[in-house]
Amino acid sequence: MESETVEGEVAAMLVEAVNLDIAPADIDPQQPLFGGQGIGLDSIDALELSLAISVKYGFQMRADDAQRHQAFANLQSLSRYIHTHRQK
Amino acid sequence: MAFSFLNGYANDAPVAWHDGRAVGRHEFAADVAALRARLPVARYLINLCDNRYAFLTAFAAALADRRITLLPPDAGDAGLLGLCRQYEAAAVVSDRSLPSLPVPVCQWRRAGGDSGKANAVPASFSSDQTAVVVHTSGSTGAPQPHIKTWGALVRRARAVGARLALKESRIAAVVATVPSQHMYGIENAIMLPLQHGLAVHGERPLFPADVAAALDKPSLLVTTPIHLRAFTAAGVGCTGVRLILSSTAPLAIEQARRAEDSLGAPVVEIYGSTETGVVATRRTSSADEWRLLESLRLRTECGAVLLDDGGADVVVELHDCIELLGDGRFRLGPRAQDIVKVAGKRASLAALTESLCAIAGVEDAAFLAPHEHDEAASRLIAFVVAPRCSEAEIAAKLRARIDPIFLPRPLVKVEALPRNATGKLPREALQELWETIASGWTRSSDAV
Repeated sequence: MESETVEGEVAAMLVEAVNLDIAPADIDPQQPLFGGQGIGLDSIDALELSLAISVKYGFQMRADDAQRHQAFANLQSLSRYIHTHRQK
Repeated sequence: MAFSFLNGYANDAPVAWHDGRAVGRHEFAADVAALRARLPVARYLINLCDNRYAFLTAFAAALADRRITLLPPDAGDAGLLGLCRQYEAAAVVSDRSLPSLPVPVCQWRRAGGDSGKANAVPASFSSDQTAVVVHTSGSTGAPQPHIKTWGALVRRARAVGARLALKESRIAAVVATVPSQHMYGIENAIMLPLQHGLAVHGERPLFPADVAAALDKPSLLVTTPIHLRAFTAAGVGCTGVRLILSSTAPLAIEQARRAEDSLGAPVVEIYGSTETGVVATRRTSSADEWRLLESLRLRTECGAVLLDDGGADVVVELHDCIELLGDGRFRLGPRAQDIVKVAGKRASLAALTESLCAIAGVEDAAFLAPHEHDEAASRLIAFVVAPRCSEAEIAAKLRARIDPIFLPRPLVKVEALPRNATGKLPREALQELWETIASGWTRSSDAV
């Protein structure tokens, strides 16, 4: 599956995992996930998200992975990261 | 009287682990010496280092130069700015990039090498040296200071260590998922290891796989119910954890049992606060009674429960509903759950109430989280006593202070809040007030 196709799936998982008040389709793939300018996720949300990712895609997020900060930048980068690391 | 900085370390025992390597006392001294040479001259040092080894070196550097470490309230950049305004003679040390601040900022970096002056960290500090000022976000907007002397921090850390029988344990390192800037963090992830010869794990792991990787030595894990739940749910294996501390939110018995089963180590819950530090502990899986630390005393005066640490430090009133059982044991009364979650975000009702009280014209206020099946309110409810302001004015000002997701719907003006004789506001009384108001609304809408 191409990472663009994963994007919709990841958006739905994101909305469900951290209980967002927006529709998956309304998330701009370039919009920052963390901090005031974006969707406003925090570290606890990241933790929830990591759990959802491990269940759905079968791999554990690691913070010492240099790509991680990059991965969590926005929906597009997160989808790419999942696409490369997924075990299922 | 003076207390050692590094207490109980064997000669070759690491002070910390940083970047996967053990840091011995000489290397540590070299890092502190290098940092002392670079820090701007200032009476106060705001220590924002997220990496725990960075925090530890900056903490030691501040103590050595008799500078007071300031820890910001948990209120993001706004809280930090407030702190900088309050302490003009402060400098900041940080290991991440920061917004522009009105005080000098020192970027933390590793010195490298161990050509250290071994005397960069004095062996001990005077008991009455002010070590840290911890801040809570205050009701007037200015962060509220809580002063901790070196002696108070050391005595408490040793009392906690005695309770946990750390000396008899084979624990070698302390790993923590919480920031060092909170009282819970500095007491248990910094002071506790320093006073018991344990290595401070230099990172702050977040994801379960990272926590598991950090627990590769016999370790004490300092964490919270949220992290613990994620760690248990992820089912990652770890071999090193010997003992787990949990605090910052209530831990359910079932959750404590699940964590003990899956991690194979006892979970000890900590009762404490920024004002008091660690007060008591319990093994949540098997006891609902709290055991006061041996160095502390509780007494009641005029209906208030006072905590006495037996030293020169101030007696503090505990604001929870406490039932004393004698022999240093007590039970916590039904406590209103302070942490609320709206649309996936968390906030403390007490902190939200403080933001509301900080608005000019608001004399008294309270937030209430509605019961799950409340039809009249699905979001938070707020009551305000503000004779000279309209609800709309207050709501507009509140919007600038808190995350909009927590804006009360509705915000109700009342003449007075149902405070009891000691000034406390029981949740039941607020709930009753809300039901009275909501039923009044139903009746008037029926009439229309």
